[in-house]
Amino acid sequence: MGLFHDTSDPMHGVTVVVETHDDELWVGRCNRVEEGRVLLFESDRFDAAETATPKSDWLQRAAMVGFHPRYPKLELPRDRVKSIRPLLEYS
Amino acid sequence: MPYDPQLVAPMREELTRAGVQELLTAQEVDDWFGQREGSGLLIVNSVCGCAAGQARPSVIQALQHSNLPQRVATVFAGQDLEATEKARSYFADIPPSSPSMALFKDGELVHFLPRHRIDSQPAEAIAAELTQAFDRHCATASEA
Repeated sequence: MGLFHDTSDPMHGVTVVVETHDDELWVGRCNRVEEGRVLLFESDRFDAAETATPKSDWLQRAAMVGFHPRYPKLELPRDRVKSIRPLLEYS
Repeated sequence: MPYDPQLVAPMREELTRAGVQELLTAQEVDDWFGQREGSGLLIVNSVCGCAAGQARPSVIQALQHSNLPQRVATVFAGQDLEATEKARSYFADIPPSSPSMALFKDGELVHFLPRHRIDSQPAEAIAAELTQAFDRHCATASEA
């Protein structure tokens, strides 16, 4: 590690759960967390309109077996983000 | 697009040297899964850093355990595309990720480690999870 990746960000490469202040829930591979933004690769978003599965069950399944990444690259404004935690913590 | 075979050869050999069977074609995958009876561990290998730093070392460590699956095999995601796609068809309800590990017993998936459970843990922790799964699902030598 270090040859091709910026290792200064402790969350770099970790699959995380991002919750926003407006109750959005994202899972994806964290590329970097900066002052102004959070950058995720290969992410997905819980969408209550698309599934009857409760948010908690959706997240638990993602934590156990993974998820289908519908968004190759996602940039979230840092001020929208309430929390960022490793997906592993939810299993 | 697959990497140069010479670049990935060491990534293959790291597992095959430990006794893991490589499944290079869809037919070889079908043949492996055709052995439904007993336990089998399938490793989806990958070129990424967490495969090198965590997945492969954890498998090598876990294969030192006293209780092991009867069969251990690997497919290489991004390299052996047909074999990987065929392997994933045997657990199609699981979102594809790599590296990942799937433990089967009598043809049923009994334990799965997706990428994020590998990239977020040190190799020792992954090996511990694997050996716990082996103890739970694989027959001991005395029971086999």
